[in-house]
Amino acid sequence: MENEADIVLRAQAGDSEAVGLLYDHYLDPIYRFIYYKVFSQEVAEDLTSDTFLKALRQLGSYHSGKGRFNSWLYRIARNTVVDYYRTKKEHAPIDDIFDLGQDDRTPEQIDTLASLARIEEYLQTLPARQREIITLRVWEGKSFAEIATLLDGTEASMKMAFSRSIRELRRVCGDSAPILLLVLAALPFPIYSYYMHI
Amino acid sequence: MKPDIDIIVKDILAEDPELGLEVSALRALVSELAEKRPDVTVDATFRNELRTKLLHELYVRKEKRTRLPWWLIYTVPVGVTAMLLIMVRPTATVVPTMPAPTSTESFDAAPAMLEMERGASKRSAEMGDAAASADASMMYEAPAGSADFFTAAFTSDRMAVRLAYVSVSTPAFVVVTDATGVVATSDLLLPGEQTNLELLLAKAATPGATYTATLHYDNGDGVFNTVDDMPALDAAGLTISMTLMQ
Repeated sequence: MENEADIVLRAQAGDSEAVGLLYDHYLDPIYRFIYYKVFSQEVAEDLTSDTFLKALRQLGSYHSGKGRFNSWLYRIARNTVVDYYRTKKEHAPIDDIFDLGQDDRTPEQIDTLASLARIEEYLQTLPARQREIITLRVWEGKSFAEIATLLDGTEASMKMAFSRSIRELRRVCGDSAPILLLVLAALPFPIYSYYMHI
Repeated sequence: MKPDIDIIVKDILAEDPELGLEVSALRALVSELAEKRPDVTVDATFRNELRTKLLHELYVRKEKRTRLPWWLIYTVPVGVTAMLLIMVRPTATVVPTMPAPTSTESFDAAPAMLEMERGASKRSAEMGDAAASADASMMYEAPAGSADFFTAAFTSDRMAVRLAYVSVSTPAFVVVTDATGVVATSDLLLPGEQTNLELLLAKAATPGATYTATLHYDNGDGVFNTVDDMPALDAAGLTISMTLMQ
């Protein structure tokens, strides 16, 4: 996005056109980012709405010294998803969190999740960060530099984590690895949010 | 955004060369994974509704920002009204008046004050110093917004002007003029109140002519002259004078 810093400053000053530009630019990626974590249109819409409203309310607190604007916005989206799951089942043990979000799933998603039992053991060993890197890299087509910005890491560490995930995928699942990853992506976000501090 | 499979595979191999032994399988894995990407599109209605909601939120926030706090809404008009009242109030009433000394005080203080004033004038004349002259003139300058006051009227035979009451805060003269110029001058009036003073005229006042009595402050020499002893001004900046009725 060209002149993003200027547009952000205008938006902070209350310029509705600038707010509209930022919204148009980030709505789709933020929506997908959330959708890949909840796999429900309704929930994704609610959380996307919350994300943008929070961003608007907190816009004054953002300044470029804290990092890039898109990184700041994605962080709000991630926290919104985490809050959603925590609110939904605040005191659930980690094992029970597998059940979260199932009421929102379509039949197609339920079919996809039929093999959940097969990968449960693998999930216990997969760091959430690696799963997020895979979806951002393969599905969103983001560069490692962008992923590093979004996830507050270095480009080298993103590459390393991605390669390890693929290797692990190959080792554990063999030829069924792509399907496994799809299932992983369909799992509720808290499964891995508990493994890392977001 | 569709990812470039070759670049992804290349990145993986750069990090983990051992996977190079099964490049084709790796490429197939990444390709299939990419193809499994869910087709996610944002609903148009949701897009528009959220945009509307955001802009409305922005509008409300701007309104709140520009709106005065409730306590200011009430206090500002009160403050403005108070300021207006102060501004339109007659100025004579807001300028502190100099308390008139008692007659005893005034006569006790007068000789010393007069001596001091005369000394200053003399010093100024001797030195020929512009600065000293300025000091002296400042010393005898009439108080701004003076509340000095007098009443005057012709005597019944029109041969004199009677000052029934005089109150001055600094040495002064009452000067009577007609169209030709000065027709009578009082003695030096010392600070304080005085009553029933008479100013004799050289000739009886002419019926129908206009005579004016004006208060002049002494410049410090104790002798009236029209150049140096300036007319006294009241709080409104007007000459303290009165037209004498016949």
